[in-house]
Amino acid sequence: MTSTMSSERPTVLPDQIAFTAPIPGFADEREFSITALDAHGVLYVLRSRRTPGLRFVVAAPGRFFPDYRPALLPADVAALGVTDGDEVLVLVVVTVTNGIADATANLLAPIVIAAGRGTAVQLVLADADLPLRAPLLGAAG
Amino acid sequence: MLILTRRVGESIVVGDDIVLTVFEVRGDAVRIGIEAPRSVRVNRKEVYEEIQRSNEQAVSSSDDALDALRGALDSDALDSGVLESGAVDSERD
Repeated sequence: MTSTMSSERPTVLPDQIAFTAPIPGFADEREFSITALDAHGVLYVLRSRRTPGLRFVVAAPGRFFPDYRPALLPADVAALGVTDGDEVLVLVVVTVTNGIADATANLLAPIVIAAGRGTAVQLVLADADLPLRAPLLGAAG
Repeated sequence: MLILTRRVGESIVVGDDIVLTVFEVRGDAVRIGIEAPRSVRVNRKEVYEEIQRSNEQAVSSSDDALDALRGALDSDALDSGVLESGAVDSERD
């Protein structure tokens, strides 16, 4: 099985997603709403439906990591329930502690969304060389 | 914890459909083959724990820091494509 994978900015993100496998560290949080944070289609907030105070900031990686093309194995996308031709979108989880300079993105474990189905998983990619904390705005920050 | 002794080529069955097979033992390293249904996610423990920690840090991202990040995205510097070349715009406000 193959699927269309894009790490370009998502254009058709669903309003709601349901994780089909537990998010590491947040096994009880499965359903999230998606809200755009900017007009450029780059930053989004995933807010837990169960715990409204819980939110992840995620980004479309293309803006910051143009060469980022995570290879999704058939077993990876199987969890999403996608079939041939379904659009699969990749978002990276952003951590920002003090300001722009220390913002990082998790390239090792992106959130992969089946746009048409509203399903999602946080995948741990097989490429162990991918960074867990890649500086968002360049290495020098 | 259940502890079993296995030789190279021998396996352990967990439940009905998970099979762990010892492939090679070399020094203190063991190569293990894992057959499991697609729905069962298999990860190295230390990697999984790192991702847990990373997620826990991610959810504690402050609103102020987030606003700053969003502000940077709205700036012309970002729209110029500077970031996409991998360069750092040190003049960004």
